[in-house]
Amino acid sequence: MKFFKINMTNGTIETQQVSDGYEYLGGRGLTSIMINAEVPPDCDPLGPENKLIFAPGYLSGTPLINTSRLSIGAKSPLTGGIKESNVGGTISADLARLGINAIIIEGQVQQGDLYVLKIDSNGDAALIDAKQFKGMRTYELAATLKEKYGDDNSVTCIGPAGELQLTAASIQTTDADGRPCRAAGRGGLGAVMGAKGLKALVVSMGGKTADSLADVPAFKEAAKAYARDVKADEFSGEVLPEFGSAVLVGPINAAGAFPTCNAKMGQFEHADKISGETMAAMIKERGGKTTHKGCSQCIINCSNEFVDSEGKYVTSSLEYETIWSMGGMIGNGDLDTIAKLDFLCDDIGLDTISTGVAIAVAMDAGFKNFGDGQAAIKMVEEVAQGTEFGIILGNGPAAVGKHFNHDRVPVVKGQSIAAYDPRAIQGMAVTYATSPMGGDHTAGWVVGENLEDFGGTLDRFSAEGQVEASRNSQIHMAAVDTVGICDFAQSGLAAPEGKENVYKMVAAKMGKSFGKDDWDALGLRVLKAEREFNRRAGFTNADDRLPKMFYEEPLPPHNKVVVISDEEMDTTFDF
Amino acid sequence: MKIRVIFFGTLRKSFSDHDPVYGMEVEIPEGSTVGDLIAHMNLPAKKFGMVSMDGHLVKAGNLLEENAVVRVFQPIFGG
Repeated sequence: MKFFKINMTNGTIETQQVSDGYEYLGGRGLTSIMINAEVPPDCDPLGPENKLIFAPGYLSGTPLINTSRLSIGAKSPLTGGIKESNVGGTISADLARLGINAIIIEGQVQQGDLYVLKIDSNGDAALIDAKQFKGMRTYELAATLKEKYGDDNSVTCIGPAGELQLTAASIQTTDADGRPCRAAGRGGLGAVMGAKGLKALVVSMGGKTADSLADVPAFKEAAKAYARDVKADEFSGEVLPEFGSAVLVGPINAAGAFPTCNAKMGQFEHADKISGETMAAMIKERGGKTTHKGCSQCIINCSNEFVDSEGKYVTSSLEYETIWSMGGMIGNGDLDTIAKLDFLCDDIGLDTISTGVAIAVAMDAGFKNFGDGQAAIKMVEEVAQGTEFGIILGNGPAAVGKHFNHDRVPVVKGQSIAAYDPRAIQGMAVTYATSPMGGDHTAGWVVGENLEDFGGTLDRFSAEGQVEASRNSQIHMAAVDTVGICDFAQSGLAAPEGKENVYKMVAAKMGKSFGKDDWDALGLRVLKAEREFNRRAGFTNADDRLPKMFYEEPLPPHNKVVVISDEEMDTTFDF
Repeated sequence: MKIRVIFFGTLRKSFSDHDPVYGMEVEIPEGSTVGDLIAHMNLPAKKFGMVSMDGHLVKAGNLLEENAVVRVFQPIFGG
């Protein structure tokens, strides 16, 4: 168990044993608790006092399936608060198998300097001058670094947007095929990496020094049961492999919760053209791939390779959130254009959610027409070119709204909402408003609880029970993101013995008892640290609110607004 | 009366005459409900979740309308 501390100011690399207070943590728990303890909350997110932390989930590198989730944390330049964004691919398992629990990037290089951090198969780290890669896009960079250091390395990097320190910049990482198409998109962490002067992490695969398990047989038994449950579940075992997360387009649109044309409507007239079913049929007909493995140890295979009409690779993986942000949200019903935009964002190093919503705000302000996909492509290209408008767009929806003096900007704490309109699913209003992450769907996804047809018990248009549902989900997700189980493998947790299996695995790694109370306490500890950081950074209850468009503009076709009162919002963190 | 039914997810695999875009035409007695349609299609209960008719969510007891477009979805989980 070790941490790497990389000081970019003086180029030193220090190896530390995991110290008191951080043992038994991984992923989001480790990044958030460390940031709260060690980063001055009032610091410049793009200055030397901020820390950028890469931490594999606690169960990464173990025999458990679907645990290659890497948490990346820092003070966010987009929200001004704490941020954790997690990503799949291979790097999390690679780091964990080398026995590396965190890489902590501190300080800042001299202006103009740029480095690659290389970690070899012995787990030794070195900073290597990377000025020759300045301005390089991620696909070319990943290919170049793999050619130089070998295919048996993962590459985690920024593109031009990160180097320009734009607040919608992502950190991209390579998937199982070595393409930098997996994104830690939210919160502008690519800008923090750019500010540090770090272009890429190159991590050797196949390490054999993962942290030991205290009780190997107990772990393996629970891991086997968990994998069986994930396979047996209809959604993760059959639906996701066939259609990917894009299968959500149909039902969320049918529920009138698919934000369309900058959230003016809850249903998109061309939803059938961009559904997961249409996408999968198109990919198969053209010779692309569905049921594609994107991440280490994945048994779901929800990824895909989208190809053009000539069968040529366009992007991987086309996901629900991007199909929404670059589709319905900008009024674009053309999957080929969505795929192109997805590729451009990955290549330039941009969050597809923030970028799509930024385009939607620009279109809403009259800059271009909704549905003009070619205009959207040109706008995204401008980010890489560093034009005046490109810089504005690359700083996300709030920057675009400010530029056009347009107030229909669907952000919370500066970060855009995701593909579930809170007026049609009130519980998402609570999560978007109160999550320490800003507008974020993964922090507390309560869509299922709000849809009776899917087993939900809440009235999705009523405030009743929504705060409690969001609170419980946020606590649970803080723990899930700490152990590093993929969101889509949560079907294993939902199985009758699912939670017990996870508790058993955590206990079998720790070497001490771990149960439901410990799980809840873990989630609470993480959330409290995040909330505390934000309070010290100056956030108040007034920041836990949605923009007025959600309270004042009824959303067709149900014509509802958000009905959660401020007083109710403020009880979310009464713990 | 005739209605158009579009199945989503892997549900459509159960019907060989289901077109990915159009769905399929179903003949059902007048006065039938959404629940009657599901029974008519012989779908196991756990296989479907939300049902919409002409863009609005409907329940098992809702009456079907002639020439309606009915969409049948599978249970989802997400993030």
